[in-house]
Amino acid sequence: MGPVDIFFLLLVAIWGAIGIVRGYHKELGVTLLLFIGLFVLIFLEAEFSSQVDKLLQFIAGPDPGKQAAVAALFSCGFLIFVTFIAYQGEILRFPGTTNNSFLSWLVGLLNGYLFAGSLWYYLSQAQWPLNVVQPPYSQLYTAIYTVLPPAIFKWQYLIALIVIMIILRVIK
Amino acid sequence: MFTLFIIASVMAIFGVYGYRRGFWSMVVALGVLVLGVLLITRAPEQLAKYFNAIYMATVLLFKGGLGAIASGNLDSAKELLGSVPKPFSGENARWALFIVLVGATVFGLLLSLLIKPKPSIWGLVLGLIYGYVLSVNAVRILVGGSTAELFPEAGAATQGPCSGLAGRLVCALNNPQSSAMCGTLILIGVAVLVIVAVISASKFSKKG
Repeated sequence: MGPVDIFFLLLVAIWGAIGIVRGYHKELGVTLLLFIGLFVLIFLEAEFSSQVDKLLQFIAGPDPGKQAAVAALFSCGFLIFVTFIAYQGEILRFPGTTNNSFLSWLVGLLNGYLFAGSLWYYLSQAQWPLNVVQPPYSQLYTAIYTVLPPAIFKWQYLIALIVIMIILRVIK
Repeated sequence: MFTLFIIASVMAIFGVYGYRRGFWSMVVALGVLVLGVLLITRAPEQLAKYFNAIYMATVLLFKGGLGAIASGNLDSAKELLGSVPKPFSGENARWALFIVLVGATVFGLLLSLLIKPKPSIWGLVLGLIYGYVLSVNAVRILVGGSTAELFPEAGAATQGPCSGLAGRLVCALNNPQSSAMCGTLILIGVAVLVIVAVISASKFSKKG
Protein backbone atom coordinates (compact mmCIF):
# COMPACT_ATOMS: atom_id res chain seq x y z
CA MET A 1 0.00 0.00 0.00
CA GLY A 2 2.93 2.31 -0.61
CA PRO A 3 1.96 4.10 -3.81
CA VAL A 4 -1.21 5.84 -2.61
CA ASP A 5 0.61 8.11 -0.13
CA ILE A 6 3.31 8.70 -2.71
CA PHE A 7 0.65 9.51 -5.29
CA PHE A 8 -0.85 12.21 -3.06
CA LEU A 9 2.59 13.59 -2.14
CA LEU A 10 3.39 13.82 -5.85
CA LEU A 11 0.13 15.71 -6.36
CA VAL A 12 1.28 18.21 -3.73
CA ALA A 13 4.65 18.55 -5.48
CA ILE A 14 2.92 19.10 -8.83
CA TRP A 15 0.78 21.81 -7.25
CA GLY A 16 4.02 23.44 -6.12
CA ALA A 17 5.14 23.57 -9.76
CA ILE A 18 1.78 24.98 -10.81
CA GLY A 19 2.26 27.64 -8.11
CA ILE A 20 5.59 28.73 -9.62
CA VAL A 21 4.08 28.90 -13.08
CA ARG A 22 0.93 30.83 -12.12
CA GLY A 23 2.42 33.02 -9.40
CA TYR A 24 1.33 33.48 -5.82
CA HIS A 25 -1.06 36.33 -6.64
CA LYS A 26 -3.24 33.94 -8.63
CA GLU A 27 -2.70 30.98 -6.28
CA LEU A 28 -3.90 32.99 -3.27
CA GLY A 29 -7.34 33.20 -4.89
CA VAL A 30 -7.38 29.41 -5.09
CA THR A 31 -6.20 29.19 -1.46
CA LEU A 32 -9.05 31.42 -0.35
CA LEU A 33 -11.65 29.34 -2.20
CA LEU A 34 -10.17 26.12 -0.83
CA PHE A 35 -10.34 27.55 2.68
CA ILE A 36 -13.99 28.45 2.08
CA GLY A 37 -14.74 24.97 0.70
CA LEU A 38 -13.05 23.29 3.65
CA PHE A 39 -14.79 25.63 6.05
CA VAL A 40 -18.20 24.61 4.65
CA LEU A 41 -17.41 20.89 4.98
CA ILE A 42 -15.85 21.10 8.44
CA PHE A 43 -18.53 23.46 9.75
CA LEU A 44 -21.31 21.15 8.53
CA GLU A 45 -19.61 18.15 10.11
CA ALA A 46 -19.03 19.91 13.43
CA GLU A 47 -22.21 21.91 13.92
CA PHE A 48 -24.87 20.04 11.96
CA SER A 49 -23.74 16.45 12.45
CA SER A 50 -27.18 15.09 13.44
CA GLN A 51 -28.87 16.66 10.39
CA VAL A 52 -26.07 15.46 8.13
CA ASP A 53 -26.42 11.95 9.57
CA LYS A 54 -30.16 11.97 8.89
CA LEU A 55 -29.58 13.16 5.34
CA LEU A 56 -26.97 10.47 4.76
CA GLN A 57 -29.33 7.85 6.18
CA PHE A 58 -32.02 9.06 3.80
CA ILE A 59 -29.69 8.91 0.78
CA ALA A 60 -27.59 5.82 1.50
CA GLY A 61 -29.81 3.76 3.79
CA PRO A 62 -28.95 2.28 7.18
CA ASP A 63 -25.54 0.81 6.22
CA PRO A 64 -22.80 2.96 7.92
CA GLY A 65 -20.27 1.94 5.27
CA LYS A 66 -22.47 3.25 2.46
CA GLN A 67 -23.19 6.41 4.42
CA ALA A 68 -19.47 7.05 4.86
CA ALA A 69 -18.90 6.41 1.16
CA VAL A 70 -21.62 8.87 0.14
CA ALA A 71 -20.25 11.49 2.57
CA ALA A 72 -16.72 11.03 1.20
CA LEU A 73 -17.84 11.21 -2.42
CA PHE A 74 -19.91 14.31 -1.72
CA SER A 75 -17.02 16.03 0.13
CA CYS A 76 -14.52 15.16 -2.61
CA GLY A 77 -16.92 16.17 -5.38
CA PHE A 78 -17.55 19.49 -3.63
CA LEU A 79 -13.82 20.17 -3.21
CA ILE A 80 -13.07 19.22 -6.82
CA PHE A 81 -15.88 21.54 -7.96
CA VAL A 82 -14.55 24.41 -5.82
CA THR A 83 -10.99 23.85 -7.11
CA PHE A 84 -12.21 23.71 -10.71
CA ILE A 85 -14.03 27.01 -10.28
CA ALA A 86 -10.99 28.52 -8.57
CA TYR A 87 -8.68 27.63 -11.45
CA GLN A 88 -11.09 28.35 -14.29
CA GLY A 89 -12.52 31.66 -13.16
CA GLU A 90 -10.95 35.11 -12.99
CA ILE A 91 -12.38 35.71 -9.54
CA LEU A 92 -10.55 36.60 -6.31
CA ARG A 93 -7.28 37.52 -7.91
CA PHE A 94 -4.74 39.13 -5.62
CA PRO A 95 -2.37 41.81 -6.94
CA GLY A 96 1.32 40.98 -7.50
CA THR A 97 3.62 39.41 -10.06
CA THR A 98 5.25 36.03 -10.57
CA ASN A 99 8.67 37.44 -9.63
CA ASN A 100 8.77 35.80 -6.22
CA SER A 101 9.07 32.17 -7.29
CA PHE A 102 9.79 30.87 -3.80
CA LEU A 103 6.63 32.38 -2.35
CA SER A 104 4.67 31.14 -5.38
CA TRP A 105 6.06 27.66 -4.83
CA LEU A 106 5.12 27.71 -1.14
CA VAL A 107 1.57 28.90 -1.86
CA GLY A 108 1.29 26.27 -4.62
CA LEU A 109 2.40 23.58 -2.16
CA LEU A 110 -0.16 24.86 0.35
CA ASN A 111 -2.91 24.56 -2.26
CA GLY A 112 -1.74 21.04 -3.09
CA TYR A 113 -1.76 20.14 0.59
CA LEU A 114 -5.25 21.60 1.04
CA PHE A 115 -6.70 19.92 -2.04
CA ALA A 116 -4.91 16.55 -2.25
CA GLY A 117 -4.68 16.24 1.54
CA SER A 118 -8.43 16.79 1.98
CA LEU A 119 -9.32 14.29 -0.74
CA TRP A 120 -6.99 11.79 0.89
CA TYR A 121 -8.56 12.40 4.30
CA TYR A 122 -12.19 12.08 3.20
CA LEU A 123 -11.57 9.00 1.04
CA SER A 124 -9.54 7.35 3.79
CA GLN A 125 -12.20 8.13 6.38
CA ALA A 126 -14.67 6.16 4.26
CA GLN A 127 -12.16 3.27 3.93
CA TRP A 128 -11.64 4.16 0.25
CA PRO A 129 -15.00 3.71 -1.50
CA LEU A 130 -15.12 1.35 -4.51
CA ASN A 131 -12.19 -0.59 -2.95
CA VAL A 132 -9.59 1.35 -4.90
CA VAL A 133 -7.15 1.10 -1.98
CA GLN A 134 -6.98 -1.63 0.61
CA PRO A 135 -5.16 -1.98 3.92
CA PRO A 136 -2.56 -2.53 5.37
CA TYR A 137 -1.46 1.09 5.21
CA SER A 138 2.18 2.11 5.42
CA GLN A 139 3.69 3.90 8.40
CA LEU A 140 4.13 6.98 6.24
CA TYR A 141 0.44 6.86 5.35
CA THR A 142 -0.72 6.71 8.98
CA ALA A 143 1.78 9.40 9.95
CA ILE A 144 0.66 11.89 7.30
CA TYR A 145 -3.02 11.06 7.85
CA THR A 146 -2.83 12.64 11.32
CA VAL A 147 -1.77 16.02 9.88
CA LEU A 148 -4.11 16.26 6.86
CA PRO A 149 -6.12 19.52 6.63
CA PRO A 150 -9.56 18.28 7.83
CA ALA A 151 -7.85 16.46 10.72
CA ILE A 152 -6.17 19.56 12.14
CA PHE A 153 -8.17 22.55 10.86
CA LYS A 154 -11.10 23.70 12.98
CA TRP A 155 -13.81 25.81 11.34
CA GLN A 156 -13.02 28.71 13.70
CA TYR A 157 -9.42 28.73 12.45
CA LEU A 158 -10.54 28.64 8.82
CA ILE A 159 -13.07 31.45 9.17
CA ALA A 160 -10.44 33.57 10.91
CA LEU A 161 -8.00 33.01 8.04
CA ILE A 162 -10.68 33.73 5.44
CA VAL A 163 -11.63 37.01 7.14
CA ILE A 164 -7.96 38.06 7.52
CA MET A 165 -7.28 37.30 3.85
CA ILE A 166 -10.31 39.28 2.69
CA ILE A 167 -9.52 42.25 4.97
CA LEU A 168 -5.88 42.35 3.85
CA ARG A 169 -7.00 42.10 0.22
CA VAL A 170 -9.47 44.96 0.54
CA ILE A 171 -7.34 47.36 2.68
CA LYS A 172 -5.28 49.71 0.54
CA MET B 1 11.26 9.13 0.88
CA PHE B 2 14.42 10.89 -0.26
CA THR B 3 14.04 9.39 -3.74
CA LEU B 4 10.48 10.63 -3.86
CA PHE B 5 11.60 14.17 -3.13
CA ILE B 6 14.23 13.98 -5.86
CA ILE B 7 11.64 12.78 -8.39
CA ALA B 8 9.11 15.40 -7.30
CA SER B 9 11.72 18.19 -7.41
CA VAL B 10 12.95 17.25 -10.88
CA MET B 11 9.32 17.02 -12.07
CA ALA B 12 8.61 20.45 -10.62
CA ILE B 13 11.71 22.00 -12.24
CA PHE B 14 10.90 20.58 -15.67
CA GLY B 15 7.21 21.44 -15.21
CA VAL B 16 8.17 25.10 -14.89
CA TYR B 17 10.70 24.81 -17.72
CA GLY B 18 8.09 23.11 -19.91
CA TYR B 19 5.56 25.85 -19.24
CA ARG B 20 8.04 28.54 -20.22
CA ARG B 21 9.32 26.74 -23.34
CA GLY B 22 5.93 25.55 -24.59
CA PHE B 23 4.43 22.38 -26.02
CA TRP B 24 6.46 21.81 -29.21
CA SER B 25 9.75 22.55 -27.52
CA MET B 26 8.99 19.90 -24.91
CA VAL B 27 7.80 17.42 -27.57
CA VAL B 28 11.26 17.60 -29.15
CA ALA B 29 13.09 17.30 -25.81
CA LEU B 30 10.85 14.45 -24.66
CA GLY B 31 11.22 12.64 -27.98
CA VAL B 32 15.01 12.63 -27.72
CA LEU B 33 14.86 11.58 -24.07
CA VAL B 34 12.48 8.70 -24.84
CA LEU B 35 14.86 7.52 -27.58
CA GLY B 36 17.70 7.58 -25.04
CA VAL B 37 15.62 5.69 -22.49
CA LEU B 38 14.65 3.10 -25.12
CA LEU B 39 18.33 2.60 -25.90
CA ILE B 40 19.14 2.20 -22.22
CA THR B 41 16.36 -0.24 -21.48
CA ARG B 42 16.51 -2.31 -24.69
CA ALA B 43 20.24 -2.60 -25.24
CA PRO B 44 22.17 -1.90 -22.02
CA GLU B 45 24.84 -4.54 -22.68
CA GLN B 46 25.55 -3.33 -26.21
CA LEU B 47 25.86 0.24 -24.95
CA ALA B 48 28.40 -0.79 -22.33
CA LYS B 49 30.27 -2.76 -25.00
CA TYR B 50 30.39 0.24 -27.37
CA PHE B 51 31.56 2.55 -24.61
CA ASN B 52 34.31 0.10 -23.67
CA ALA B 53 35.33 -0.15 -27.33
CA ILE B 54 35.49 3.65 -27.67
CA TYR B 55 37.54 3.92 -24.48
CA MET B 56 39.94 1.18 -25.49
CA ALA B 57 40.39 2.61 -28.99
CA THR B 58 41.22 5.99 -27.46
CA VAL B 59 43.72 4.48 -25.03
CA LEU B 60 45.23 2.43 -27.86
CA LEU B 61 45.63 5.60 -29.89
CA PHE B 62 47.43 7.41 -27.09
CA LYS B 63 49.66 4.49 -26.13
CA GLY B 64 50.93 4.03 -29.64
CA GLY B 65 48.86 0.98 -30.48
CA LEU B 66 48.01 2.31 -33.92
CA GLY B 67 51.72 2.58 -34.71
CA ALA B 68 52.19 -1.05 -33.70
CA ILE B 69 49.30 -2.09 -35.97
CA ALA B 70 50.65 0.02 -38.83
CA SER B 71 54.07 -1.54 -38.48
CA GLY B 72 52.50 -4.98 -38.56
CA ASN B 73 53.30 -5.76 -34.95
CA LEU B 74 49.84 -7.18 -34.19
CA ASP B 75 51.00 -9.20 -31.15
CA SER B 76 52.23 -6.05 -29.44
CA ALA B 77 48.96 -4.24 -30.24
CA LYS B 78 46.99 -7.22 -28.93
CA GLU B 79 49.03 -7.27 -25.74
CA LEU B 80 48.53 -3.56 -25.31
CA LEU B 81 44.80 -3.96 -25.84
CA GLY B 82 44.67 -6.77 -23.28
CA SER B 83 46.39 -4.64 -20.67
CA VAL B 84 43.77 -1.88 -20.92
CA PRO B 85 41.03 -2.41 -18.30
CA LYS B 86 37.42 -2.14 -19.45
CA PRO B 87 35.94 0.78 -17.49
CA PHE B 88 32.28 0.03 -18.24
CA SER B 89 32.06 -3.56 -17.07
CA GLY B 90 30.29 -5.20 -14.14
CA GLU B 91 28.94 -2.67 -11.64
CA ASN B 92 30.43 0.23 -13.60
CA ALA B 93 28.39 -0.57 -16.72
CA ARG B 94 25.67 1.66 -15.33
CA TRP B 95 27.84 4.73 -15.92
CA ALA B 96 27.64 4.08 -19.65
CA LEU B 97 23.85 4.12 -19.39
CA PHE B 98 23.99 7.25 -17.26
CA ILE B 99 26.17 9.00 -19.86
CA VAL B 100 23.63 8.10 -22.56
CA LEU B 101 20.80 9.45 -20.41
CA VAL B 102 22.65 12.71 -19.70
CA GLY B 103 23.60 12.96 -23.38
CA ALA B 104 19.99 12.47 -24.47
CA THR B 105 18.88 15.09 -21.95
CA VAL B 106 21.45 17.69 -23.00
CA PHE B 107 21.01 17.03 -26.73
CA GLY B 108 17.21 17.08 -26.48
CA LEU B 109 17.14 20.29 -24.47
CA LEU B 110 19.60 22.00 -26.85
CA LEU B 111 17.53 20.87 -29.82
CA SER B 112 14.39 22.18 -28.15
CA LEU B 113 16.00 25.63 -27.87
CA LEU B 114 15.71 25.94 -31.66
CA ILE B 115 11.95 26.20 -31.27
CA LYS B 116 10.54 29.60 -30.36
CA PRO B 117 9.29 29.59 -26.75
CA LYS B 118 5.55 29.94 -26.27
CA PRO B 119 4.31 29.41 -22.69
CA SER B 120 1.49 26.89 -22.50
CA ILE B 121 -0.13 24.66 -19.94
CA TRP B 122 0.47 21.61 -22.20
CA GLY B 123 4.16 22.46 -22.04
CA LEU B 124 3.83 22.20 -18.27
CA VAL B 125 2.21 18.76 -18.54
CA LEU B 126 4.92 17.53 -20.93
CA GLY B 127 7.56 19.07 -18.67
CA LEU B 128 6.21 17.10 -15.71
CA ILE B 129 6.27 13.89 -17.78
CA TYR B 130 9.79 14.77 -18.92
CA GLY B 131 10.92 15.27 -15.33
CA TYR B 132 9.35 11.97 -14.29
CA VAL B 133 10.94 9.96 -17.12
CA LEU B 134 14.34 11.55 -16.53
CA SER B 135 14.41 11.29 -12.73
CA VAL B 136 13.01 7.76 -12.48
CA ASN B 137 15.50 6.46 -15.05
CA ALA B 138 18.42 8.37 -13.52
CA VAL B 139 17.63 7.01 -10.06
CA ARG B 140 17.08 3.51 -11.44
CA ILE B 141 20.45 3.56 -13.17
CA LEU B 142 22.31 4.99 -10.19
CA VAL B 143 20.57 2.99 -7.47
CA GLY B 144 20.12 -0.09 -9.64
CA GLY B 145 17.24 -2.55 -9.92
CA SER B 146 13.65 -1.86 -10.86
CA THR B 147 11.34 1.04 -10.05
CA ALA B 148 9.70 -1.14 -7.41
CA GLU B 149 12.74 -0.43 -5.26
CA LEU B 150 11.99 3.26 -5.47
CA PHE B 151 8.60 2.75 -3.89
CA PRO B 152 9.07 0.26 -1.06
CA GLU B 153 6.02 -1.72 0.02
CA ALA B 154 4.13 -0.94 3.18
CA GLY B 155 5.30 -4.08 4.95
CA ALA B 156 8.90 -3.10 4.75
CA ALA B 157 8.14 0.39 6.00
CA THR B 158 6.01 -0.87 8.87
CA GLN B 159 8.55 -3.40 10.07
CA GLY B 160 11.56 -1.18 9.47
CA PRO B 161 13.29 0.63 12.32
CA CYS B 162 12.92 4.37 12.87
CA SER B 163 16.28 5.03 11.30
CA GLY B 164 17.37 7.98 9.21
CA LEU B 165 15.85 11.43 9.18
CA ALA B 166 12.72 10.41 7.25
CA GLY B 167 12.22 7.28 9.38
CA ARG B 168 12.51 9.24 12.62
CA LEU B 169 10.08 11.86 11.31
CA VAL B 170 7.51 9.20 10.39
CA CYS B 171 7.91 7.52 13.77
CA ALA B 172 7.53 10.85 15.54
CA LEU B 173 4.34 11.59 13.62
CA ASN B 174 2.94 8.23 14.66
CA ASN B 175 3.34 9.33 18.28
CA PRO B 176 0.09 11.18 19.29
CA GLN B 177 1.91 13.93 21.24
CA SER B 178 4.37 14.71 18.47
CA SER B 179 1.64 14.56 15.88
CA ALA B 180 -0.46 17.10 17.83
CA MET B 181 2.55 19.40 18.05
CA CYS B 182 3.21 18.95 14.33
CA GLY B 183 -0.45 19.80 13.63
CA THR B 184 -0.10 23.02 15.65
CA LEU B 185 3.10 23.91 13.79
CA ILE B 186 1.32 23.38 10.47
CA LEU B 187 -1.53 25.64 11.59
CA ILE B 188 0.93 28.38 12.54
CA GLY B 189 2.97 27.87 9.36
CA VAL B 190 -0.11 28.05 7.11
CA ALA B 191 -1.34 31.23 8.82
CA VAL B 192 2.09 32.90 8.58
CA LEU B 193 2.51 31.90 4.92
CA VAL B 194 -0.93 33.14 3.92
CA ILE B 195 -0.56 36.45 5.77
CA VAL B 196 2.95 37.05 4.37
CA ALA B 197 1.77 36.28 0.83
CA VAL B 198 -1.31 38.51 1.07
CA ILE B 199 0.69 41.40 2.60
CA SER B 200 3.33 40.97 -0.09
CA ALA B 201 0.60 41.12 -2.75
CA SER B 202 -1.03 44.21 -1.22
CA LYS B 203 2.36 45.96 -1.06
CA PHE B 204 2.59 45.44 -4.80
CA SER B 205 -0.87 46.93 -5.27
CA LYS B 206 0.18 50.07 -3.32
CA LYS B 207 3.27 50.43 -5.49
CA GLY B 208 1.17 50.00 -8.63
